[in-house]
Parts: sequence; C-alpha cells; structure tokens
Amino acid sequence: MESWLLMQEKDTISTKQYIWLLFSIITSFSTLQIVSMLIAHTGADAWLSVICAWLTDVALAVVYAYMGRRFPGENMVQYSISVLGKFFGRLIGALFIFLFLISASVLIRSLCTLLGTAFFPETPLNVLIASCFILIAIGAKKGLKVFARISAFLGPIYLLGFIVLFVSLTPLINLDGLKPHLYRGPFPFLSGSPFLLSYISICIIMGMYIPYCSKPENGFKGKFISVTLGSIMFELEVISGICIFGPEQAGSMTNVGLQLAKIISIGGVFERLEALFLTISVAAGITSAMSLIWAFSLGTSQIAGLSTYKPIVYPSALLAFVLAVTSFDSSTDIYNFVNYTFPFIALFVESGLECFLLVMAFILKKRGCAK
Amino acid sequence: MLFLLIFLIAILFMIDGIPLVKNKQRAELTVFLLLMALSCILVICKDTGIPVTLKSLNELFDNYGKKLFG
Repeated sequence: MESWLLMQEKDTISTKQYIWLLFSIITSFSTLQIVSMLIAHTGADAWLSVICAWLTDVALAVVYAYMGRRFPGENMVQYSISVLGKFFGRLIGALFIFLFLISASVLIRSLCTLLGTAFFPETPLNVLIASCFILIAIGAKKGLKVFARISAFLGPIYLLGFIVLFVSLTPLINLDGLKPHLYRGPFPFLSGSPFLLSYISICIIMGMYIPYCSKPENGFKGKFISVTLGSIMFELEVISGICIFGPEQAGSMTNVGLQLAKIISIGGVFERLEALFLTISVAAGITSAMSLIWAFSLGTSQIAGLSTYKPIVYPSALLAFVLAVTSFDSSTDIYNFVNYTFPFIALFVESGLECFLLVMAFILKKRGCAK
Repeated sequence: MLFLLIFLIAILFMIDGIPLVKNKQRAELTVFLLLMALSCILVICKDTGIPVTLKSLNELFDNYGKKLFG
C-alpha cells in the first residue's frame, strides 16, 4: 500500500462510541422535517415505510461491514482507489465525500431554519448558520476521538429524552389512527421507504469510521444497534404524529416532532417540552455535521494525497457554510431539494456506488493488505 | 456576503494557512487555497446570478424525484 494512502487519523474509537456516533446522525435527521415529508408521501402507512427502510439499511450495512473487513484499515475513499485505481477510484471517492459535504450543508440549513422559526424569529438565518459552522469546524478539527466522546456522552441523553417525550404522549395515542392499512395500495409506502432510507443511510459514514474502530469486526453489530435504535425513534415519532394529528395534518406540518413536544403535559406541571426537543435536535445536528465535515476533510486529503487532513478542516467547513447560505433562497427551495433531489443523489451514492465497488472488488479480485 | 466571506477567509488563513506556508507544505496549502477559492466562486456566482448552487441540482433531478417520491 502506498504511503499516502495510509491512515491519517491516529485516534481509535470504541464500539460504544461508534454506535452513538451513528445514532446521533440518525437522531439529527429524525428531529427535522423528514418525518412530516414521509407522512405527506405515504399517509397512514408511513410506519410500514420505516420498517422497510430499516430492513434495507441493515442489508446495506452488511455490504459496508464486509468491505471494511475485506479492506482492513481502509475507509471507503481508500478502498475505492484500491479497487478501481487512482483515477476512477478518486472519482468515486469524490462522490462519496461530496455527499457528506452536501449532507452537512443541508442538515445545518434545515436545523437553522427550524431554530429560526421556533426560537429566533428576529435573528438573521446566516448568523445562526455561521455560529453552527464555527462550532462544527472547531469540533471537526479536534479529530474523531473528540466528537466520538461527545456523542457517547450525549447519545444516551438523546435516547432518554426521546423516551420521556414518547412515554408522555402515550395517553394521547389512539392506534386506530393507523387504519385503514394500505388504503392507497402498496406504492406510497414502497416509495416512502427509499426516501427515508436516503436519510438513515447517511450512516454509510460507518465506512469512514471502521478503520479507526478498536474492534473493526464489530462494524456490522454496531451499525445494526444504532440503526435499530434510530428506526425505533423514527417509528415512534411517525406513529405518534399520525395517531395524534392524523396523516393529513401531520403531513402538512413543518416539524411533527416539535408539534408533538408542544402538546405534552406531565401532570400539568411540566409543559412545553419543545425546548428538550430542540436541545436534542441542535446537539445531534451539530455533532453529526462535525462527523460529516471530518469525513469530507479526511476524504479530500486522501484523494489529494496529503499527509494530514487537519489544515483543510476549516476551508471545508467554510465551503459547507457557503453552500448552506447561497444554495437556497427560500424554505420552498430547500423543501424541494430535501424532498425530491437529495434522496435521488443520496441513494445513488449510498447504495449504487458501494454495490458497484463490491462487484468490482469481486471481479478484479482486489483485497486489502494493510494490517 | 462577499465581505463576510473575505473576512472569514482572512481569519482562516491566519489560523491555518500561515503555518502551511512556513513549513512549506505545498500540497496542503494548494488544497487549502483551492477549497477557499471554491467558496469564493460560489459566492461570486450567487451574486452575479450564475446558477451554480445545490438548488441548480433541483432542475436536474426534480422531475425524477417527483415521479418517484411525489
């Protein structure tokens, strides 16, 4: 293996940290507009889409975990180069990291739109986005170990927070709201499944983490646990939204989770728990964007053959910031992008490219050699 | 926007760019400058109305997305 392809991140992460890192990413998307969009697509059958998306994502995790073991010590950018050679490998690697870059931009733009609408109506959106990206850049520059520790600390808090929110909603839930099943036939829930999959599958970033795991053989197990936990959170949010508001109203809301948090009342003492929801959303969003910017910087440095990724973390965050600020003029633009365009690009990269790499590795009989 | 960007770039250059120049890390400095130049190009394109943003991807994939997910 050539020297410039060697690992540039010296830290390793434990399986526990790996699980919470992936869980944070799923949490960050589950607290945004995705649930409302899914319900708008699929109506009362949205809960079936979540199960389908979970099953497909677990199948996809098998491919990523297998590639991680076939090319030990290499991330997806590195094994793209190992399988396809310098030119085509770099091209495919660039597509992977491009997905991380646009995911970070879209995630923070959506998060700040939500924050601006719910809590800071007077604050300019660009100020919120810039503040987030400053934090993200600092965190990503510190390295994987740092935000892995943050995730391992905050991840259980997100989980506990969600459990508190959904347990409080239980008295309001009437499961008859999910009927009639398949009222519009199977197409809505089957098309909702890839839509949701495109967001859950941002966890393909596991392909960047596996080389730095203390136990890379736990790659699949860790991903399975985190995706299962994340999908349960999605499922609870979808079922609560449909059963409490009805599919039409839930589908037309900007953010179902936020509206659910607003109606919670625990014994008439604890009310308006949307602050808890927003805290989870902001913390998970920023931690996830740190991971995404870290992955983008690391991948870029490996494509360019640099000895370290750290000097390009700040310019990468700047690029993501500029994309987040300049790309969308209105909420409608970002809604259209998140609803129609992003799932297309994401599914192509997350599923198509990785399966292509797997097939090519078999055909060309390529195998990693790093220990 | 452009002014804010130039300001941010100046800060970034002082924090991260100067050590690269001092240590003669040419490859790192090139990628560093390329990424910053890309950010500037995106802002200039936005200011001059040239559609080089994520939104322009909507025009490419919007119809397919609407067919599948709409």
